[in-house]
Amino acid sequence: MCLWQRQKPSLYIEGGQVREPAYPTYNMDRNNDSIVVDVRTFPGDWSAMSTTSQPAAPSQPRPPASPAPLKFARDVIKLGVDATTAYERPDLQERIQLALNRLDRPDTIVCVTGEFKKGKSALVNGLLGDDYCPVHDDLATSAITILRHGDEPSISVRRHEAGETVVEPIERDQIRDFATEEGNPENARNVEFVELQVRNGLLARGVTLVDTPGSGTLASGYGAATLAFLQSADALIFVTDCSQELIEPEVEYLQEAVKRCATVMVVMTKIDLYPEWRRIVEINREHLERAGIEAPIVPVSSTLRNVALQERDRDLNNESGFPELLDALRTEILDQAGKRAAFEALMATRTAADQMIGAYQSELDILADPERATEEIERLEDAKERLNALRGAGSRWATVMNDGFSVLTSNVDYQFRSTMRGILRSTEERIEDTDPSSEWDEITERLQSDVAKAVEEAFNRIDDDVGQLRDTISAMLRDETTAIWQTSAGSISIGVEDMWSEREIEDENIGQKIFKGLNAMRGSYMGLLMVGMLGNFVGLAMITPVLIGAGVLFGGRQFLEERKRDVTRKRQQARTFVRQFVDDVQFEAGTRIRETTRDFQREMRDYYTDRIGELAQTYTEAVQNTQNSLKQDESSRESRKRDLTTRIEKLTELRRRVEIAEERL
Amino acid sequence: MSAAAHVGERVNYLCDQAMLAVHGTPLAAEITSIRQRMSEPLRVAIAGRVKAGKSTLLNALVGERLAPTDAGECTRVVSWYRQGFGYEVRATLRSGESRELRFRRDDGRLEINLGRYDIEEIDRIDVNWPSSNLSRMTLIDTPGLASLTAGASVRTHDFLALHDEDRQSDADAVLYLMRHMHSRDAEFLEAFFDDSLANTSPVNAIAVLSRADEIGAGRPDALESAARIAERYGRDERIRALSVSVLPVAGLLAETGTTLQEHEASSIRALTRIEEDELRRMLLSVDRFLAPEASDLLVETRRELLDRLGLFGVRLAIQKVRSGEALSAVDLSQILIDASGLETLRSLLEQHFSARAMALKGRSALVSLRNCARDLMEIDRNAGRRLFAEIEQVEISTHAFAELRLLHMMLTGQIKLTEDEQAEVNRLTSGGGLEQRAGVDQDATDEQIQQAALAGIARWRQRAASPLLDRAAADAFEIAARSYEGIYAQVAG
Repeated sequence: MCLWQRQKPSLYIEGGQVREPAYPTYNMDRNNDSIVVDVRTFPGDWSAMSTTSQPAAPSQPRPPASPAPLKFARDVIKLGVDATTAYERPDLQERIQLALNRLDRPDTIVCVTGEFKKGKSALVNGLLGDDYCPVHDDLATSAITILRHGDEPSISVRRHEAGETVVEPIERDQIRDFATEEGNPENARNVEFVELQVRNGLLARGVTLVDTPGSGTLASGYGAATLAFLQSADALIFVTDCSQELIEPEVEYLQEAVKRCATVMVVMTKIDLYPEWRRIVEINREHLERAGIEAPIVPVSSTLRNVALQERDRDLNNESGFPELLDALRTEILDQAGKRAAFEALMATRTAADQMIGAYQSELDILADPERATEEIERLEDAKERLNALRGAGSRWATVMNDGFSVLTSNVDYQFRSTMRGILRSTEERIEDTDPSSEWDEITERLQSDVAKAVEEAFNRIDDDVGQLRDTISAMLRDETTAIWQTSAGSISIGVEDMWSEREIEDENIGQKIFKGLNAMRGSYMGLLMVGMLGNFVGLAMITPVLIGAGVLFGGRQFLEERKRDVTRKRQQARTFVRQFVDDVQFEAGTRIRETTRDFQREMRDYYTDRIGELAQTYTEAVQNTQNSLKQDESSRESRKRDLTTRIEKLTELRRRVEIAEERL
Repeated sequence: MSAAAHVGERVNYLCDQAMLAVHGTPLAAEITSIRQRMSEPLRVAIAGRVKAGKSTLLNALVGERLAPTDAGECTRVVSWYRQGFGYEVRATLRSGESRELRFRRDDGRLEINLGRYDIEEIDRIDVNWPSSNLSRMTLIDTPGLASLTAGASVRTHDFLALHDEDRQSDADAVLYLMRHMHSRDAEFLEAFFDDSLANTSPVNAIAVLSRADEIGAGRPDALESAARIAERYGRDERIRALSVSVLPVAGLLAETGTTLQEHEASSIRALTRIEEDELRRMLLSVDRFLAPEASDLLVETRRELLDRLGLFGVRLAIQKVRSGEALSAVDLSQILIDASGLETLRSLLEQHFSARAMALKGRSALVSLRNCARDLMEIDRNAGRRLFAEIEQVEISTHAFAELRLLHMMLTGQIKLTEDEQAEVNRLTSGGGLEQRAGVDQDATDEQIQQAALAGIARWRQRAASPLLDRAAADAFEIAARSYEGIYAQVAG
């Protein structure tokens, strides 16, 4: 049964009444919900999660593709698409459809961090089932590697050369020249990232994996930079191994990480090698508990996974722990991202339903009382005009928004510059007090860490300010549209209040967990799909300034070591290196800050203009439809009234289901 | 008089002077212990991050399983292992009291019963054990740095006096175990060295790349990889400034190699009888190795083998038995020890630490005496100052200390020497016999030794005279020349 059918817009509901469908039940038992990993179909482990694929193991029934509440929500949203299609509101339909697309393939950024030589790259290879990331006994990864899905496989490197950003395609065997200590020690080649687009089941689900260089200590400058990056990631896979229990810097890092990232998983590698791995897992669980870190621990062996895939050995694959890891990834990460996308899409569906109900209701009211028709229509016309005026560039909210952004940009910029000046000054003071060649590592580590924090602070500030600005504009538009509704269109009772309310999902429905880090930037507020396209790059904007500059500091070390004696000269040189680093970061970060705020401004403008446009369209149609209906003869009017009543009933039902779906999520 | 005896005499002299000055004060006990320490074996601390394999390596060096080892964090308190006439374990409590502890041996493993004492109350544990391997050096096991166990890292920091420049360390030399290079390791090494001779010094530190068998996922070529990594670390300027060398050591193989028992070897032999492909699959992971149906051998026995050898060690042992290279426990022991890198470490310990034990101990003694002098100044300002001056005088005039300075400058690359010259300085500053130090045959005549010494004097003086040299280098070369003078004088006298 379907509530709407595309071909016949005003089809009655079966049996003449709205019937409640049998909602699928959601089985809370995780075990029933686990994915069956079929290594024969590898690398498409994730295909096992699709509803349409055939059963993999005859012995085990294929579990549902996603938890029932998500599927239910999806069905409701699909109804929303059908409704807006049937009732010919392509503008509303497009918005719901976009949200639905995101639900089907939520952009999910999963970041992999951990100390040196814990097996991060091997883990990424294990997850993807192919040796994309170079693995080496000795030399570690030195640059960020981004892996995402692409139908046309390609590998490229984005790096800085002589002040220019260069993006060039490379061959697979060249990856190590750019991404490892072997070819690119301490990222001396200024690599921003190496990007691989590959055909892969996991990545095809919308996952972007980010493999990071291990930090010697997670407290170092590099550790600070990856922490900043986490704000824009959906999940963190923190890698440690079973050779020993977690150490202090690791736990400290995790404590910072959980503040920034909603989903954190601790993966313990190398279980093939350590007989006591189960005990170490237990000890670590206790460590995490004591430190107040909520994160599941997943023990794995990339070595076993590798052999299992080569020999197509299902048992061995299970022993490798990867099926469980993939399952955890799905429930902890993909489902959460799906949930968020579902909330956004439900919100779009709800406001669409509200608007249509409002329009139909006012038409119905006028038809019921034709005496007042002329007056009412005039009022609707008036409202339409006022809404159209609100769309214009000269409107008050647009002015407030543009002013807000220029203040924001200059404030952030000023603050950032003055923080950087402070850092530069204190570093220079430190250089004055020491022999810079012997303390270079500590100086630079501190410097990098401070700078990483400054960059993070700047972006956090943008995020806060944008959030506030958005709240201001929303409140303003709510007042304006409410005023229009009250003074002009008294009879159209569309949910303008609801439309502008940024209900924060974390408060109401799914608890604190889902949104952490950069809220405004990641579109965590309902009704505002902010900067989805920025998502991937905000994190990089925060991490690359520090990465790119690091080459200078590294070069500095070699330079200073060669000049053993003259301390005054060494200090002078050290100051030059530090200044150059700070300059580079300032330039790089400054550009990123400007780009980010500019993108925000554009997004926000488009968002509000579109919403007002939708509202204006609702009024326009209400006017036109009412005028058309009034011209009809008596019997057609009656039939129109019945049609309108049905439409309202159905939309009300849709709205009710939206609420049920939201509750269930 | 040999250089070593000379150091001892000078320090004794200083102690006598100090004793006169501090007579009747609480510092007297301190001076007695400084003097006492000069006649004891060199104290070598084994330090490093948590789970770096410190206790395992200690056991390998002693050749007995004295230090408790475990997969979890294990060493919680600083423990001293020294040569004793009988078997005795004592705990020094935080309150300063000393108590004897009961212990027993379980399958070669020493088990200490803390009795009614809580670990928190114990400041340190002393294990006195009759072992020839402890006769030349006392080994000190320390809790790991960067530990999550409250207090454990603090104890090591306290012990090594990491955050307190005024305090001397109780150790004369340090074996620093690192698993991979972390900047924390470098910081740690830097902090270890006091500044009585120089800020940092590879003179009394050896770095060990530990748990070498676990590198590269325990593949057969793990140890080659480890050797390459160690070599790369050894070339790193920062590490060279801190430690004389970086040696790869597979501590577990070394420990088990030195303590392997016949029944363990026979278990390995039993495993080799399993069909090849089945065995290969069994050795894929520890869980497979321990699966009840994998072998007729008791799971418990297999677990013990794993604990003792690690997966890499089991693979290695099985391969060697299968290939016929090892038949008995003795053969297997030797193979494990050879693979572990223990012998290289031992010989470096001998050359680098034991041979210079007197100078290194003297160096520690001077630091301790300086502290006494500082304390004395509180009581009697003038006496304290006089003692300071005496210490200064002895430090400058004792050639063994100058030699350490030369060695330090060479090892840290502050003076550039050819490889031959470096070998010469090493030889010259070692605590060996005159022939060895002069670089002549063991059966050389006095005259030959003197010839060599004269040639050495001429060579180094000539280098020192170069107008292109800076002051420090010239001084360093002068020290080498004077070492040869010392040799000449000893032959003559």
